[in-house]
Amino acid sequence: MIIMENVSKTYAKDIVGISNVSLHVKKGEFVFVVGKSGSGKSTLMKLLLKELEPTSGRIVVDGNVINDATRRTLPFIRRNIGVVFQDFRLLEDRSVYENVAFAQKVIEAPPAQIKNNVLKMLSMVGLLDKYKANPKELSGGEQQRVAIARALVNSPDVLLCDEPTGNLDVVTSEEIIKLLDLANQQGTTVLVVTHNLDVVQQMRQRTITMSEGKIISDMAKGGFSYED
Amino acid sequence: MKISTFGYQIKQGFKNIHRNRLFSIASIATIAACIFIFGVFYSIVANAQHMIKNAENKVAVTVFFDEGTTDTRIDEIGEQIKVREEVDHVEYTSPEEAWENFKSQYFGEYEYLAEGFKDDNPLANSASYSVYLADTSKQDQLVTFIEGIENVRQVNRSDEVAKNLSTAARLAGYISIAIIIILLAVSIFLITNTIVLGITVRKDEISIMKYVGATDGFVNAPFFVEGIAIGLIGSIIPLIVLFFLYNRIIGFVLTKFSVLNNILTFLPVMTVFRVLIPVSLILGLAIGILGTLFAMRKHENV
Ligand SMILES: Nc1ncnc2c1ncn2[C@@H]1O[C@H](COP(=O)(O)OP(=O)(O)OP(=O)(O)O)[C@@H](O)[C@H]1O
Ligand SMILES: [Mg+2]
Repeated sequence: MIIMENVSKTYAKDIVGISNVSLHVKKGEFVFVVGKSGSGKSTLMKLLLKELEPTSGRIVVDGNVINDATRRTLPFIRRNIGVVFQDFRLLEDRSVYENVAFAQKVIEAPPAQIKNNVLKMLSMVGLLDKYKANPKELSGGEQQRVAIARALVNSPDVLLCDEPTGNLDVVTSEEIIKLLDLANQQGTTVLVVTHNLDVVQQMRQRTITMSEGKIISDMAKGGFSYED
Repeated sequence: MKISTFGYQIKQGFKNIHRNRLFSIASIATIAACIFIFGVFYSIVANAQHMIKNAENKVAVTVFFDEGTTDTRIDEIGEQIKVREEVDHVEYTSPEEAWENFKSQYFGEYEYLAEGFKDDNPLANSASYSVYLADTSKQDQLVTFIEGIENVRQVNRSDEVAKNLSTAARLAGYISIAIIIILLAVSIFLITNTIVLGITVRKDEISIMKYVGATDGFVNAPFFVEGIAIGLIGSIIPLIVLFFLYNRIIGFVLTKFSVLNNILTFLPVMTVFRVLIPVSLILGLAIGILGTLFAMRKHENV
């Protein structure tokens, strides 16, 4: 569950990131965010993670008021939010297995559970046979699958993806989006920023269009008011 | 923190050290130098103080009497002093002995120069007692007592040796403090930079850790492990070196300066190390923790 109420973010020198955005995403929803480059999509995602402080407005994710989060409480809030980036951000000094297990170790999951959870996630993203491989040996699509496994291994309630298919070809992109859809079917609330309008139309999910820092449309079933 | 996490953090810390080998070695070497010098000077100062104590034990309080004090009275005074519990023993020096001592000390081989005084001992009133103390710390108390005795003209504390040794020890102390402060600053600077480098190298990893929900403590722990390990290794190495050097150097000094053997009384290695080991380890630990804290401050927002 995500709530944004009249949220604005102004960068230095009056550069508007987003302006007066209000948004409600229910638990278990799948939402696409589309819009031109510079329309504020990444800013919105970063605000949800408290990577950025809003200039004004209130943000609640999964019952936690993000505005009030402190250095001490933020890590625990983030354990409920998975993140996937365009550039995968895998650690190349360790195996696929270690990359996913890392997320569990960091939150001090019981060692007995880690192996179980990691193998379950790798099997969900279809990479069980490559658990020993180094990320460098994988295709872009495979790397993004590992990143998704890592984002989901701690069973977050919310999954935020900023252009997860930005570096991938059409076919691979569809596979990745299907994977996100699978995570959504298993109960995770999913927010996906994308430029891939074919996928958006195909998936027929709720879609939000942004322009110049504002939400200009919010439609069900893959509707958007945006041209490439 | 869970035990499994603890093990993980220790491993990460040592990985950091390994990854920044050159910087780590430089930090360890500087801390080792710092603590080595500290150890050397501490050994010198501790031994000097030990020798001062010994010298004090060997030198006596000298008691002189008023002009014309009779031998019987001098004997009485001797008895009075002897019974004091802080007194070990008392030696009497007659005026003749005093003159002989003086002659050989001041005229040396030209003793014939003193012939003119032959029948007229210039130190006729220089009979004295040398009072040896059982407990030097009670010297003041004893001196006050003796000064209060009738017919006692003067009480000399012959603590010249002790005074000189104290000055030397103090000087050694000041020099070592100055050197140690400089080396401490260099150590902390180096260890800070080693850890900053470690943080920079692991920036991607740290950023992912934070996305996934690692606490600050979890993120920082390996760097504290790194700092503490470098600090401790840097203090253990000089301790081992000093331990083996100590007896060798003492042996060397004692054979080279065998004339001074009765002044040069050295402390056993374990007595020195009973202080040196904990102080050095704490010093290494403090350098490590301080360096890590400075590094954290520099990199607050990784
Ligand atoms: N760190 C920053 N400092 C200053 N201005 C920024 C910063 N980040 C983003 N902006 C500005 O804020 C606006 C919104 O940027 P944002 O990155 O949210 O756009 P976006 O929709 O994600 O674009 P893209 O599709 O290219 O990723 C842009 O005008 C951008 O230049
Ligand atoms: Mg963006």
